[in-house]
Amino acid sequence: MIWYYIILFVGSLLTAVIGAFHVPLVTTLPFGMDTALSSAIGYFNFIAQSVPPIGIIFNCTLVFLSFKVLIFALKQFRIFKD
Amino acid sequence: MTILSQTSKKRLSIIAYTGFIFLALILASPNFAFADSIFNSTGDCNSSDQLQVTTAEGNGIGTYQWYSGNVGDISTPVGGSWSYLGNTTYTIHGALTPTTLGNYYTFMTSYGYWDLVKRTDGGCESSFNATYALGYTLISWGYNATGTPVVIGGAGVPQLTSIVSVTPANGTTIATSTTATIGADVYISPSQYNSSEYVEIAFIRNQDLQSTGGSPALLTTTFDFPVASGVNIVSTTTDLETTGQYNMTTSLKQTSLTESILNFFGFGQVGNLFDNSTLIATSTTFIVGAPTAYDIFEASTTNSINDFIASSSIPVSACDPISGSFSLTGCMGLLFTWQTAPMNAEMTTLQKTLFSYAPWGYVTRTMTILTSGATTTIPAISFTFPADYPVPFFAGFSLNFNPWQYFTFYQNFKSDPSTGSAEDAWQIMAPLFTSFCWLWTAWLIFSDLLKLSKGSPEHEHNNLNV
Repeated sequence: MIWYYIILFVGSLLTAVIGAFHVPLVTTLPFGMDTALSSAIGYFNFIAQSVPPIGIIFNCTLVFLSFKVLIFALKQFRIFKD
Repeated sequence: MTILSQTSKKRLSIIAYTGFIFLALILASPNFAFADSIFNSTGDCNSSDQLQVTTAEGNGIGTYQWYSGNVGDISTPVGGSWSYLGNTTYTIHGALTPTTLGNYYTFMTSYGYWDLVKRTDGGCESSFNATYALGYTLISWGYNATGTPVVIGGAGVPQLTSIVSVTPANGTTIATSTTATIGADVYISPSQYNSSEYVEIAFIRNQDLQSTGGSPALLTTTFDFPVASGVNIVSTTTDLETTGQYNMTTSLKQTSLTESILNFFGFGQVGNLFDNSTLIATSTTFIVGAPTAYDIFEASTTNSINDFIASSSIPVSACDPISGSFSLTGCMGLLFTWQTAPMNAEMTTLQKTLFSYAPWGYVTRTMTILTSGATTTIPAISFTFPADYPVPFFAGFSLNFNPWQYFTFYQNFKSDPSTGSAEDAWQIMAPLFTSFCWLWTAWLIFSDLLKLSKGSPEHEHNNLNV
């Protein structure tokens, strides 16, 4: 539970710091990106629902990309370098 | 008046007799008999002490309950005990008898079987039996102000597939035996049933889970039972002579080509991550003879800590000196005892405050959109010719084409319905396709790790640096 206090402390600090600048509350993405991204995801979900293989291929691709990112991260350490 | 000829009369007689025979066959068919026998209330409501209800659900392992059927309290159990008469008849006694004239009472079992009876002078009047009852829950019916049964929310809500009970029951102690009974009572909703489903009961002695000499999987005893739509009461006998606490997992599973293939290639764990072979499962424990020293040790250490954490409810205000509920020992305890509720509350607060404001708010908003499951229908392609188009027919004519509706064409290709299931092309091909995709992904990862696809000198070492 000590993590609770650490998170509470860091969260409060950051909130206070950021709050001092009166940053805006984000409800939508700017420049029409919110609508565009929502539509894009909606279209993708629509197609993935209509054609189930697309969802599976997408998941496989994500797993493979995660693997590549993990390997890339590990290679930053000297012990894992070629 | 039309005078029928002799031949016409004969034909009419044949048709009438044939119709009568068909009607008799329908009424005598198993389906009709089944529907009738499940909910046939053979009530004797005039006698003040009992009402018998006959069901066809077999041996009574499930639970049974009377519900008062008045408006507003339809889900209020009347309570009480049941006596068990043979395989199919249950008798309700004493105060539980639906003795109030004009009131409706409902007999409800844990399988979702139910029947509605009405106390009248002439005895118990049963209604809504037959086909609506099987697999439908009580909440689909209600009563209006005058006590007349009415439908609530359409045609009813199907009773969900569930594991009603297991044998031995959770937390019970059984004697050592060479013929101990292991079993389960599983209800499968007809709408959720498919022919590849089966019940798997797997159990292992708690102490063997800690075995370092062998895989726990090898020490697990597993039984598979075929199932059908509806009530399934499965059991077998097994040798349980080794004392100790046993952990038992009862699952309703379906055969999965994906899992089989991945298991064959040694990727069982990956298969478990992406596979849907386990539909529902429940974990229970039981003790054979007496708990072992290990069980007692675990109960007094690990389990005690887990129980303490689960029961700990010290408020965070215990650390606030001006809260009025300050407690130094409670505050110290909070430092070392994980509590889910304040942690969730804190993360929710952060989500609403810090993570919702710029610049982090943009990331939060993006993730919210990306993880949304909402679908947007892709608009159809349409074109309208201008009104002054030179060709008379096309002037002002609109062309509409919606190619997306053809994306689901595969749903029109069904398997032979006479086999008992009508799966479409994707449902048939999904296991093969899913297995292929994941195996291909696994192959890509391994070939990338081992540089199997690269031959250049700079790739003479693999990514594992071996």
